[in-house]
Amino acid sequence: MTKLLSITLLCFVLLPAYASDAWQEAESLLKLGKAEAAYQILAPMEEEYAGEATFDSLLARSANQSGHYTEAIFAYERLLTITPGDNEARYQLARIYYRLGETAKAENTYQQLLSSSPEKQIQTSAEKELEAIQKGMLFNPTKISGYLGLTIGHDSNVNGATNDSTLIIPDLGSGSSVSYLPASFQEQSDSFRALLAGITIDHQLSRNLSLYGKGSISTRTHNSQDAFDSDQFAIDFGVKLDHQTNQYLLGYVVSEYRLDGDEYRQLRGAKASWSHVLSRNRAFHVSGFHGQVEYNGQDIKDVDRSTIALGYTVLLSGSLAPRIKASIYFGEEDNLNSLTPHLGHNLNGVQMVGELTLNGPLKAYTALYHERRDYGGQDPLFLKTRKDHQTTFALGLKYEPAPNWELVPEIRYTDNDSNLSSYEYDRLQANLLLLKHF
Amino acid sequence: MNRYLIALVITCLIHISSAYGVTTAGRVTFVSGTPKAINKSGSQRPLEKGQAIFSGDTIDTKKSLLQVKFTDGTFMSFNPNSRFQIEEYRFNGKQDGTEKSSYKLLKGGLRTVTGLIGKKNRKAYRLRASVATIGIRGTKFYLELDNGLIIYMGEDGALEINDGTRILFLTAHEVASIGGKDAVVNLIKSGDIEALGPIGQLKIPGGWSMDSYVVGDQVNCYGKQKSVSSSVIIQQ
Repeated sequence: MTKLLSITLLCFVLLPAYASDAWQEAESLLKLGKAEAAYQILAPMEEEYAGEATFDSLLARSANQSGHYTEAIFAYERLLTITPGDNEARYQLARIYYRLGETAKAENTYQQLLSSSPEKQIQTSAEKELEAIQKGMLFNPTKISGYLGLTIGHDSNVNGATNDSTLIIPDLGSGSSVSYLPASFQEQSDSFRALLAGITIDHQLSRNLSLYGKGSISTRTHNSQDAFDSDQFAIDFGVKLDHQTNQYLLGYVVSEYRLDGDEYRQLRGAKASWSHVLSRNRAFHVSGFHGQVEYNGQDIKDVDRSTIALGYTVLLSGSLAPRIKASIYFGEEDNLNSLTPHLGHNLNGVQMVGELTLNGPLKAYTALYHERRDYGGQDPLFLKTRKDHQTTFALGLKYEPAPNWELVPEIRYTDNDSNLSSYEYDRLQANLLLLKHF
Repeated sequence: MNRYLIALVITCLIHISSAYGVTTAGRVTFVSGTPKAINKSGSQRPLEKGQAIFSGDTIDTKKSLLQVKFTDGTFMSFNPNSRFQIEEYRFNGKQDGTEKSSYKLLKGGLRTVTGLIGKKNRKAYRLRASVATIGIRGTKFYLELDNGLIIYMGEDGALEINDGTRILFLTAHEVASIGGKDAVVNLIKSGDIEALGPIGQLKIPGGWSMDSYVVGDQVNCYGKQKSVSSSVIIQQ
């Protein structure tokens, strides 16, 4: 019993000495810029020494400098309760609130600090940061996000071709002739895999104005139909303005579609959009695009493309939280060569997308697209003006097994109905996408 | 001497609580002012540094800053004028499926770094406020309940928030407001409105989707050219 008491007493005598040594070591490490090492020494002692000013100051500084901001707040808040006149601590606390987006708390803390006549250097920095908050500026005005994805799937018609082996071509005389399409020119099915990646950068210029830039790349490889392997690149940049319940966007888009390693088509043009919030759960959108679509080595097909779209989004309440977005659009692809007006067309269409939350991270969506295209002149081969109706229906699930991860199985059916039978086809695609956002 | 007294008081409280079948949830790490705990039977006790808090307690911080370390390692710092209920707390030192923490923020705000409960078994951790239930994935966050709930994510981790209609995931540095705020404005500002579309092949950024979507020019006007082309689908 005496021995146990002696050991206990020894512990109580030695512990403060041990703590003091540990704090000194942490202080030395902090001076050497080794904040993480200092934090690791101090963090286990928090329960015992929380509330002792020297300890809290050391812990707060090491946590702050090593990026453990939440832990730094715990320590700074304690420290300022004990020593409210510590202006350096109050300044650092305000800055951490600002960094973490807690602007109301940051503003209040900066104001408390400035009202206590701090040292010149702290005052200058605090005034500058307070002004930035009041102007609506983020602590870090540049945001970067992106995604990486992998898709595997099967496509019943990778070349989007007819399954009809015959072409009935009218003669200029009385009758018509029948041509036979080789099997390779008819619909081809194959499995495929695709990789996709994208990045978005937003840079805040002022409370309401920001610049944005987006880039994406995707590549699709078929198991055997190499001729239809494709790559796509897209860049989109511009400016966004938020004003009350409106968001305006002005941007420029460049994208390229490559087929079997060769440049096939390029699109470039300007876009503008306006989104207006009508009520708590409803928004209205208007967007327009004007640009050029150029076909590499087939200048005859080049067109000017113009579209305008009107959209409506509604988020409904209820157990499945339905989200619906619908839009209609009109436009034209105007062929640049007056001798080939049949390569241009007028277009109009509707798009409807609906999403239901089935069970927490599991959502189901469906999409329906219909586009009508009236071509600009008689097809010289078929001696008819082509008219197409293209319908796509997609059904899929979105499963989020963890934050920033999505698993998306989808089936999609496309039917192109044309008055020229050689342009008629249908296509069924089934694929599974794994997406990681960062 | 004070250390002995504190140790003695803590030991006594642990024994008393065990005898009455009440689980010790954590211990007060820091206190300013005179916060109190109210147990299930309604009796109140002042909270001081080192004191235990138990499953079933409701904490009322009054005008104090109060910090508590839970037995699973969770650290919570309560704002002045906050009320917080430990509805149920079970932790035997292991993540063996029996652990559980169920909390309710009744008033005010708190900041937390979560501990072991909920790390392996997400359903074991629930923090409710009047407008939403929060589940964790090992994280740091700050909550404020004031005409709706505002959630500020800390520097790392993730949260899932169920507001009764949908589940929202939050990751580092994100902010969400539940109730009393405009959902569509939030969606537009976060860019999430774009996420409404099916993401598969259609979710190609740029406002335009270059789907491999054939317009029918695989046989050209001379009947010779064969190739896949794409149409451009508007995706506002």
